[in-house]
Amino acid sequence: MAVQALPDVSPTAPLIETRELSKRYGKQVLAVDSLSVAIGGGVTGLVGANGAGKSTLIKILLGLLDPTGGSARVLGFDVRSERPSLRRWLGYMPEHDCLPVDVSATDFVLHMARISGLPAAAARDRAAEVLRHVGLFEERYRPIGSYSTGMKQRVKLAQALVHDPRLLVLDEPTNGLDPQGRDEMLSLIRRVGSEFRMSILMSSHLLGEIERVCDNLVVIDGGRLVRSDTISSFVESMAVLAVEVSGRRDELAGRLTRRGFEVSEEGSLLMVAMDGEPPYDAVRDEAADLEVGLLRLEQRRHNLEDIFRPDEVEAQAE
Amino acid sequence: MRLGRAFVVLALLSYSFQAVFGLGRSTVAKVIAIGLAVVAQIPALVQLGIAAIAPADLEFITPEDYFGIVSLVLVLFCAFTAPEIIGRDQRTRTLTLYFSRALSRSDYVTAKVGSLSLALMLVLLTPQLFLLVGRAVAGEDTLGYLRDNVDELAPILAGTLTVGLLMAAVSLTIASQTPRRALATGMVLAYFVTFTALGSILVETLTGGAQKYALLLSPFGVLEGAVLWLFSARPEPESEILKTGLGGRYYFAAAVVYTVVLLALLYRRLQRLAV
Repeated sequence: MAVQALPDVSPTAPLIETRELSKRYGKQVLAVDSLSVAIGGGVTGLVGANGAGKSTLIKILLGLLDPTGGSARVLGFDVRSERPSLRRWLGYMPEHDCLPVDVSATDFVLHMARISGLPAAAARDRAAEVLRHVGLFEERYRPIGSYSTGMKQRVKLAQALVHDPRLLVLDEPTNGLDPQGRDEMLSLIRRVGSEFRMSILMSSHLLGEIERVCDNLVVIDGGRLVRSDTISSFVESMAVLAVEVSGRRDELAGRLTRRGFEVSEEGSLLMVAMDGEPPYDAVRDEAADLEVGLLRLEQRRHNLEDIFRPDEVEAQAE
Repeated sequence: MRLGRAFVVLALLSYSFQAVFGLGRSTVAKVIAIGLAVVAQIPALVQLGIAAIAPADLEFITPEDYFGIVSLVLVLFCAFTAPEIIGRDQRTRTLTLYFSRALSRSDYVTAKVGSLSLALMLVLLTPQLFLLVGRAVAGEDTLGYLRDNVDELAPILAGTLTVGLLMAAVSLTIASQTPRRALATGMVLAYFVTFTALGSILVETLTGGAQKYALLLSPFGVLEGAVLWLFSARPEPESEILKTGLGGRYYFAAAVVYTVVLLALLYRRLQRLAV
């Protein structure tokens, strides 16, 4: 029986596109508020505080929830009217526990492959391949109930991969893992993105993970889009120049400020923002004019946690 | 290559059918279902054993009576297996994984009802076929007996299908109301016991038109009446069906209507479940 192929869309068209997407629960709660965003290929991080609307957005994109307004297309399919066709090309790893305890990983992933439409022989081969890829070997024959949290997360990832989706949606994939487990899962996700050549949308509240694994970032807050851009664009805009001088630091800071540079202090250092004109010449010239020694001139950049939690960074610095 | 919707439903049906009998799971999961299935064969096997020793003295159980003899066993079978194949997916939250794939709620209902119906049909059909063959072998002309009684196959199959579908629809609709296995088992048992008793009480206490339709409240009453009609058989003299005086076709129609309504309720339940 024929299965609907992926729509013939332009290679430059976004994988996920929403227009004025909204989801209201009752009269009070607006979980997603007129969200318009276009997400391309690669690994994209979806971040936001608890209650920001991440899970609601993911469920709408998977066709598990109906939006109350606006539209969304994923892989060229409309999320409302073309759900069965859309879901054939999606893989989903939920945040919550979702595995039966009395079935082995082999049997369960094989079953999920069959439910995805793979013929029996192909399902067996594919299940074995993905379980090997996620690092489950002899343990795959034991009941899932005997697994550690890390092993269960791997099974969840394996069932999301087994039918060779075009887009993988991971909701908090490192949830419940210890630091080593988290590292291993992030490496696995990165490898999946490159070796399986599939695009990934990954939701996480841990910005360090997002920065490590993702190429793009979508930030939402209160159901609204805050910003959508590449990771490099996010952090480049927050690059700073660390300056250390032998004396008259405050005077140097004042002169640079009067020249239009954004200057802050971090211990004995001056941090000069580099989001506009490069400050190198200005720092050199002012330091020379003040007749102070230039001890350090070092480019640094903020990480995502600095961008999204500046108050905590300041508190730690003090 | 991806197979289409029918193959996906068949895959889930096959998996659920195996789950009914605990295949691929622990020993405990197997014991109850397979044990009850074996118990449902016992009347037929005992009859065949007696027929082998003293065939002339034996009055075989007729196929249309077999459901009544093993009805309690079938209820226990449904009460223990329905929560296993539908409540378990809610308990483990595996429904999220099913519905994030190209599997619709209606496909899920079809597969689950299909799996339990098939299991019930297997449990009920096997002894009836044993008896049919047993009666043929006990006679002098086996092939002749089979030739003359091949007409029995159609009502046997139709009756088994009616029983399987209705009992599966009832049990799964009730079991889907809660992910808790023990509670679901109790609810299924309570339904069958309560409404069977209610039907019987109303038949004994009501008169006139109300009495005529009273047994339609009883699941066993409906199924017994439907099966008798399919076999064109008369109820026993002391039967409640005879007391009501309602034609067998009404019981069959009620079985069909109940099945359709219950399937709709099951579908609605699954639509409202948050995944």
